[in-house]
Amino acid sequence: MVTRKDLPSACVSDLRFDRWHAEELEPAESRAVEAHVKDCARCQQRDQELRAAAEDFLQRHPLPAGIDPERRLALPSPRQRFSRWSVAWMSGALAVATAVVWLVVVPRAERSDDVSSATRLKGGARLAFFVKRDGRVLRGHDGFTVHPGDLLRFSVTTREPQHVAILSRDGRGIVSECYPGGGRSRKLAVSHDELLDSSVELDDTLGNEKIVAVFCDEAFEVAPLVARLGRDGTIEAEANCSLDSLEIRKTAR
Amino acid sequence: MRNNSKLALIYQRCAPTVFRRARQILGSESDAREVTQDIFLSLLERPEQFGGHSSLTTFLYRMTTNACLSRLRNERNRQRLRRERIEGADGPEAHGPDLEQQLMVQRALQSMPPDLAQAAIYYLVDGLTHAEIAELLECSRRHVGDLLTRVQGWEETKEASS
Repeated sequence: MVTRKDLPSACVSDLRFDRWHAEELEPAESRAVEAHVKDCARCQQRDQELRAAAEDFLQRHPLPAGIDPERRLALPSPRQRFSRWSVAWMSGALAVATAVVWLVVVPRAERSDDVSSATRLKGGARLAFFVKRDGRVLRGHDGFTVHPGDLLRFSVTTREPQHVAILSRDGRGIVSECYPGGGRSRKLAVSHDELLDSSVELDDTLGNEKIVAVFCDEAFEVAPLVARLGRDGTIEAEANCSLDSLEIRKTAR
Repeated sequence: MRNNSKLALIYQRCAPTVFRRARQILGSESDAREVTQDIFLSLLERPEQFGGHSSLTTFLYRMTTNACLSRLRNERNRQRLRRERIEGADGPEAHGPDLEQQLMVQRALQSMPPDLAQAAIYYLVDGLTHAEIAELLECSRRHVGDLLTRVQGWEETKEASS
């Protein structure tokens, strides 16, 4: 009979250790692991074993020759919370039809001039969003209540061409890139409440979610902003950039 | 967001895990090294296979498990691995105190349906909880419980017939 050695329930499994060492855990979970390891002889020993084994492996088996260590891998974000409508899908005839529907059901006048609660202005660039739910399109606003399964589509207003990225941070501190999705900002022409070309479907994580749009004169990498937003819960606008943010409340249907 | 990290950083953070697990499952350092290289080359060639629905470590756990199962199911590999484990051809560090248990696990994995074999690896080799296995298999904890019951039944059937 094959048996296994069960861990005490509070102890850290190898999977959690591995994710901790790879800096993939949420800050709160990471702190919990650290606190447990500090007080648990078994986990201290396992932590040291795993770290020593990793060092030994890397010394004996560095990155295989012939592979550029500086090469960057564009991997999708871990724990992506949205099922994204793919760009390929959106670029087809169906995407055109969908865009038409969105434009038809959102009156132009409503989309263009309402800066009150639906959009917020900072540095001349604005973020807004619309929610598609049960076949209806609703205009979102700061504090708007959304539900799992709702489709969100953002629009932006810019006074001059800007490089744009939109991030979200949920109540658990998980940050996702909502737009454009390639790890790098996308340049947009002067836009007046222009709907962006992709939508996101909200997952079932409930709670408040912060959405931040970053507008810059120059192209920028999104990853440092994701890290900062995840770590600090906020980001500051750098030189030649501006931010617009809003919050949504996600509740069960 | 895309994890646009340098390959060197990803390798440094994740390759030791891939290697360690492959060695635990296969019991062979040289095979574990090959699995590790294969996985990273595959990721280099097709980064899009990581869909971003889990952490990279979780994804690599799955990849490693599947790669090792493929090796174990190859008759020639299986016989060679068994010979190496018993004869110590791969160095003493490949041998743990639970050699017999590891050989039993390997034998079971070779004949189990893939879903049972994956659950068995996560439970018996990695020592993970039902919740963690559910995350890795992308199923409910209840289903994990069912799978592990079937693993137990599979072992008992095999033992009775041998």
